[in-house]
Amino acid sequence: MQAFEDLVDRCQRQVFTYASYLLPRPEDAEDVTQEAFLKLWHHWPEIDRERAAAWLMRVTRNLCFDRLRHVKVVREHVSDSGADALEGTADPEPSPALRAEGAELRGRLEEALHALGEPMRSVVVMREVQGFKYREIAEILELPLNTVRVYLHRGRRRIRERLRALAPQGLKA
Amino acid sequence: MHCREIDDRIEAWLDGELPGGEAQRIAAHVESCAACAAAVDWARAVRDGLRGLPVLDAPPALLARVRAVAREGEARRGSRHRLAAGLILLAATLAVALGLTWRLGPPGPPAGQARIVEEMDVERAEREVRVALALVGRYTRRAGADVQRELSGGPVAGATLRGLASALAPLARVEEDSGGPPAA
Repeated sequence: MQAFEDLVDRCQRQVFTYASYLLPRPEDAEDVTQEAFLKLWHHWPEIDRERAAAWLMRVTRNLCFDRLRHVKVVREHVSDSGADALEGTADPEPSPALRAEGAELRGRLEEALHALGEPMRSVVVMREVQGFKYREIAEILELPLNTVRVYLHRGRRRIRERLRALAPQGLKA
Repeated sequence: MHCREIDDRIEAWLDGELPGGEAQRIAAHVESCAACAAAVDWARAVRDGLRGLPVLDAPPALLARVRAVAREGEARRGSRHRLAAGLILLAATLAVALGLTWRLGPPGPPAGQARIVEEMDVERAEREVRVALALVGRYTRRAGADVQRELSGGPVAGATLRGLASALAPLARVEEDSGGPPAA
């Protein structure tokens, strides 16, 4: 029980931050965070403690993807836009939770980040925003190490290009 | 090296992930090309900007809910384990008591008859004890499976009680069939 609570304390920021950057609405990020921890608790007796944090992040990623797919289905019922399931599915506007933290520069970076498809967005968020190691990202996203590097550089390059096209002065200011 | 090639590799170069020779060629090009130098500055600004984005703490109320659910679950798991252990002990006690009832029944008939009856009783008692022990073994395995199910979140107390009832039912039948402990 104590070990579980320690893990909750240690990982809550990772889980919530990741969900907040992937999902359009703060309440979705909260729901996913809670659901991820409850799943962790449910499987706690059989989980390898050494890999529990990676397991938790993987579950969080899957729950986020489920939400994004749901958003896509709802949107397709409302309008007939046929965007790729996870490519730009998140709202291009960052969530208010993120907005509240940042200024203009942050807002533009977050917009560009939200516009990335998966798994590029996850890789950039985990590596640059959250500071995960390549090895950890590879384990969480179940990707080869080299693929993680490629996605990271490609993702950053897309953000660079997008920001340059949108408002280069904003970033330089 | 062309500017286009540089542009493709800026991020990897900034992260120091290119082999030595290639990294040096890019550095030399960037030194002499203003456009690529600007692109590198831009890429660095984007990277640093991303690294400066906020990390967020989950709302305390959410974490409190998670802890509350876990503590409640922990308490339930504990009580289920105690119930299962208690039922195993009860089953074992019943089985032993049943065996002893046959072995220590009231005094039998006199003299010659007594020896034959006693041998029959001992035989039957041994048989019944074997049956009882087999049933205890069976129940113990069931209880173990119940505990395993509990740990993976399945329904518990009801299944445990049903398991005990069905395990002990044959014992009751044995007692009925034999008309209870030997009388004389």
